[in-house]
Amino acid sequence: MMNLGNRVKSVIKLTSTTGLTGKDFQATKVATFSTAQVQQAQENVRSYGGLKDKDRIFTNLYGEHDVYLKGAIARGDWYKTKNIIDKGKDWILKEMMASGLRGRGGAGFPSGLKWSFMPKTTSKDRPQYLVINADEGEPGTCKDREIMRHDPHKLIEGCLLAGFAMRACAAYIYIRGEFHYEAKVLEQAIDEAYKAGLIGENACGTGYKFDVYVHRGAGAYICGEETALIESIEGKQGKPRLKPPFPAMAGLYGCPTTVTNVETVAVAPTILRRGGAWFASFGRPKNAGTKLFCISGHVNNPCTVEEEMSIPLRELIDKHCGGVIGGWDNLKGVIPGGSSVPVLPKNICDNVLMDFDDLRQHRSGLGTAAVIVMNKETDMIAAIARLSKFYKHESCGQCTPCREGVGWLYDITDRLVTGNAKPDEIDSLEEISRQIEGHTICALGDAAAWPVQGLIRHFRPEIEDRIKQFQLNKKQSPF
Amino acid sequence: MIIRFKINEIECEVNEEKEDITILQACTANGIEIPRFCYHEKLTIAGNCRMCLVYVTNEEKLLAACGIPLDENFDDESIETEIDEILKAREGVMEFLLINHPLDCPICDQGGECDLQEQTLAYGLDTGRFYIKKRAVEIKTFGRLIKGIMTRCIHCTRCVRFLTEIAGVNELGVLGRGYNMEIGTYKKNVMIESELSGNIIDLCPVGALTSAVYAYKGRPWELKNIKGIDIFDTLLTPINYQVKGGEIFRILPRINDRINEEWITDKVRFHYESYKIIEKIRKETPSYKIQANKFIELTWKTALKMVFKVLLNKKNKVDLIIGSKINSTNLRIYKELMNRLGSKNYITENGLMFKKFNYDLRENYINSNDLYNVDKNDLVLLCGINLRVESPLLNIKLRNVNFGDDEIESVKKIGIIGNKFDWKHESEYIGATLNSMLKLFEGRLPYCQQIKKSKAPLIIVGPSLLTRISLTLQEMRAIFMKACNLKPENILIITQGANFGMALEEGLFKEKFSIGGNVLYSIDSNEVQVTNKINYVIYQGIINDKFENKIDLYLPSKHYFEDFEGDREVYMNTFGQRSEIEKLSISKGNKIKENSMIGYIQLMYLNNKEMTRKEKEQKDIKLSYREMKKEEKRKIKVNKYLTINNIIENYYMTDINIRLSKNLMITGQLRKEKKIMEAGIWKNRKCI
Repeated sequence: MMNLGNRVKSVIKLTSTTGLTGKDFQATKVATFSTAQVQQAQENVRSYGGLKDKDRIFTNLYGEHDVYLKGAIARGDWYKTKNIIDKGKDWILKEMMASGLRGRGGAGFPSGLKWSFMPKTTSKDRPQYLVINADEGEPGTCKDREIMRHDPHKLIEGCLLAGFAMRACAAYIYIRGEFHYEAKVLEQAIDEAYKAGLIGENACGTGYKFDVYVHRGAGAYICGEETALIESIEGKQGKPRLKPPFPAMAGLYGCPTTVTNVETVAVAPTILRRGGAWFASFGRPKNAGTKLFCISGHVNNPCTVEEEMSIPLRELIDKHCGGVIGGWDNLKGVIPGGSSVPVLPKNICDNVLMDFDDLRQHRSGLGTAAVIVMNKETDMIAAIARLSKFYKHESCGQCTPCREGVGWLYDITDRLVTGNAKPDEIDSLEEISRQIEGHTICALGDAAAWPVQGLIRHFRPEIEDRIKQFQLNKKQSPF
Repeated sequence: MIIRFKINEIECEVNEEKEDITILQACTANGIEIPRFCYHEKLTIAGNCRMCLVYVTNEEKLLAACGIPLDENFDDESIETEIDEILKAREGVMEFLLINHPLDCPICDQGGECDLQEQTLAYGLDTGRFYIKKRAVEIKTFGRLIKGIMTRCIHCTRCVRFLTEIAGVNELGVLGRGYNMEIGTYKKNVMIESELSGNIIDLCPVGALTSAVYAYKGRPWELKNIKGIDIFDTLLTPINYQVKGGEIFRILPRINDRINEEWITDKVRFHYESYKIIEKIRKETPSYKIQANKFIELTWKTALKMVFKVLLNKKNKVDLIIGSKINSTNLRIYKELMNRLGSKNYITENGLMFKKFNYDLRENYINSNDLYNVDKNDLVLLCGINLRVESPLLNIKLRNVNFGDDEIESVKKIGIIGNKFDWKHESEYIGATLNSMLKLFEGRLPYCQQIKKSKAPLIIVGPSLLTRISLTLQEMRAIFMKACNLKPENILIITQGANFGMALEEGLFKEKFSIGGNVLYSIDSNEVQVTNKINYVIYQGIINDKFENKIDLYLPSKHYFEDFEGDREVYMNTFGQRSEIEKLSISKGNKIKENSMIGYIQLMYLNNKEMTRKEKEQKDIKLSYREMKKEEKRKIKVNKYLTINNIIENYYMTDINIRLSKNLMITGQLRKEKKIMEAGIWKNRKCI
């Protein structure tokens, strides 16, 4: 444990001596890459993946070491936090922007930019808040809970630094209701931090007052949406607000608020210690950094692992998860970023890179980097129908396309499982999903539509076969 | 900053500092119609129907026009509302709205004025592809007045927003989520306890909330609009009578931003039921009581002869009481009639409550402020008025006042003297007795300092205070102005009755009036206590429920909206605003006469008979008028411990027309008893 801490310190020294500033770094990497193939054609470009132990941010991801303050300090958390704060808000924002960190909650918005949206002046009547979205409800995702139960101090320190940078007076951690153990761990860690004087009045001896509260949700998926989450903290029904005004202008209790994902905040202290340039050196340009990948489904060893961005999907699965059950050729499809992104078939999975831009190129998305692997045992239609059922159940019902459309989507996909549908219903299913997509208040409508679109895009022959089969069976049946 | 942008190639300009408008408002101002369900000018923006999507250049997604303010981001942008993408999006939303809508238009009361019907015609698809089972929601009861067929609901939440934000009751809400979302009450079969609940019927864009009284009665295209006023309120809210074949089918508000915005009270919305009942049970010919409960019918000629026999008999002392709905022409006629008979014993029904009134100057009985500006005040003190029942529309106007200025931070912005009642903001309750009122007059209350500090205070004086203190309004104003450094426009006086101001305008008032004569001549006035001293009662009106047994001579007259010459008549409200009403005739009996006609006949009779006497009387009146002016100023003498109670006990019992409307009566009863209603009350009604 002590070794680890020392190592971190030595790296800080190293980065500070290289003299590579964030600005230079950005200037050298402006070229964009269209596809992975093109990128590989440019010979001098390196391949990604294979993150070394010294570069890991979450050094206690598997709970092997002490979770609480003593262990955290040994791992390098809370190391000279005062010095970072003393460098000032602008330095923190600059460093975050230089790191190229993009929000880890799914949308991938540049974090430094988002933090800088908060008003630069505060008044007593309108305090500013930081809200941490720990309502990790996306099916397949299990990264934030690992952070909260095994490395809570990374999150708390991140809250302090992010909160300081955006002039927030308090952080609300909205934790998913089902995360009972995680909430307990987090609360104990917060108590420790208060007692050690790391947060609270005069946080870390800087004279800055900062509080951290834990608010437990009640198990609604929609409360992971930032404005619904704010409504939920306020004690109302968790229904997304109409934007504008954006939370940065009027959020929690009508005050400027920034809502960020747990992972985004938890990596911030390490970025600030080791420098934005260090973080930006991982992954392809505009997709910088390391990331927690949660791989589940038909793999030999499902796991949550920290890896470099832009790692090829195949390498991720083969290296960390012991490969797909039945071998790579047994793969049928992969949902690369949690339930709300379209599924990718095997031929795309062969050489797709796990980052925002390349997955976007293949009309899917990184999302929360929850990789759901499905081999040929899987009934793909039933899998997507189950996701549709989930979205039907979790739709808040506020706006028309989502309330009425998602139910309809489920109805059709459910019948497609047995094939009890007309062939032209596949087209109408596609059209309905297009009618929902982009017409709703929040992104749940899109999230519900995309898996269905992915299914039709890549597995249409299978659906058609299913319908034909059903029709044949029906004819043979005497009834 | 002036923002220049294009809407469908039309160039527009908006000054950002002066106007704060949304895309939808800008489009409407430029004559471009954008379909909408959830958006309503008077309510907050929900943006949940997604019907008003527009395309803005440089925006990834389509935007909901109702919720996006035009700011500097829109400079040099262009907004498109008619491109294919938008039309397709609208078709999509329409399709979604219709898949779970029952399409029972032939039996739906909203048919013909339904937003969903109209917009389906304009923006919807002509074919359907949804052949699965529709979602069904059970029928809900919201009281005797409102029918909730919630299967038809499209979840626009207008009703929820109106009740919570404007009416201030939280009974209605959104229950469940997603596909199973419903609008309803938390407990089953709960009545919406608001005096303005009927407005959600107008707000509902579909047939989910409809009037239970109007159920299955008519279609909007058959009905003819006739202008009227809310006769039960001093604000005289403009309304429309919707009439078919000499029968009132329903009553809807007329929009007037200076008075009622778009709302009317339940009382006036549902009181029309009574006209039908009145038509059945009223007497249509003049009649005379020969024994208890036994009347003989008379011709008009004999009836009028009998009236004169009583009126001209010098032994008799005649008191004339005029009802609150009588228009100004009739007030003038009957005052003239009494003057010629040499008597000044005339008063309006509402005037009876006031001990003292100085009506020399108009400012003493008509408020100089404009109701339109009422919501600009930063402090409100209510003296002896329960706004919720005495003037619900003024109540909601004040409830929505933004008291947000931090100028007087520690001050509670609302003070109440008199009966406690529900109010949105935290209010400071000062006291219930006259004592606290006197303290306020003397400036001894801490609240006086708060009044002095505030920029635009408003003091509302209600009838229950006016009837208990023997001060004229003028004196009251003077005291207030002295005690709290106020201007005349800071004081608002709410009286009762539709024609109170007009009666004072005509000089129809007598100070310290008490019914002392032996003959009572009541013109459409029910709210009078007939004592044993009175041995002869002439009732000229429609129907009486208070002293029916004591009437000796009954003269049938017409309703107030039938009772004038020409097409129009003007009423004046407590703010001096004039509202017009149009003639509407619903009385069927041909022997029923107008009050004005009866009055003219009486005057003509006197003209022929007693020309000389008339001149004498007029001199007397002039003399007494001067005497009135000379009156000394007296000190306030009151019982300090008298509590200022409401003058209205039951909101649904104040007028004969309301007492005769079955559904309003039952609503009043239920609210009084605080009963949770039994399931499906309206289902048991005959009409279904």
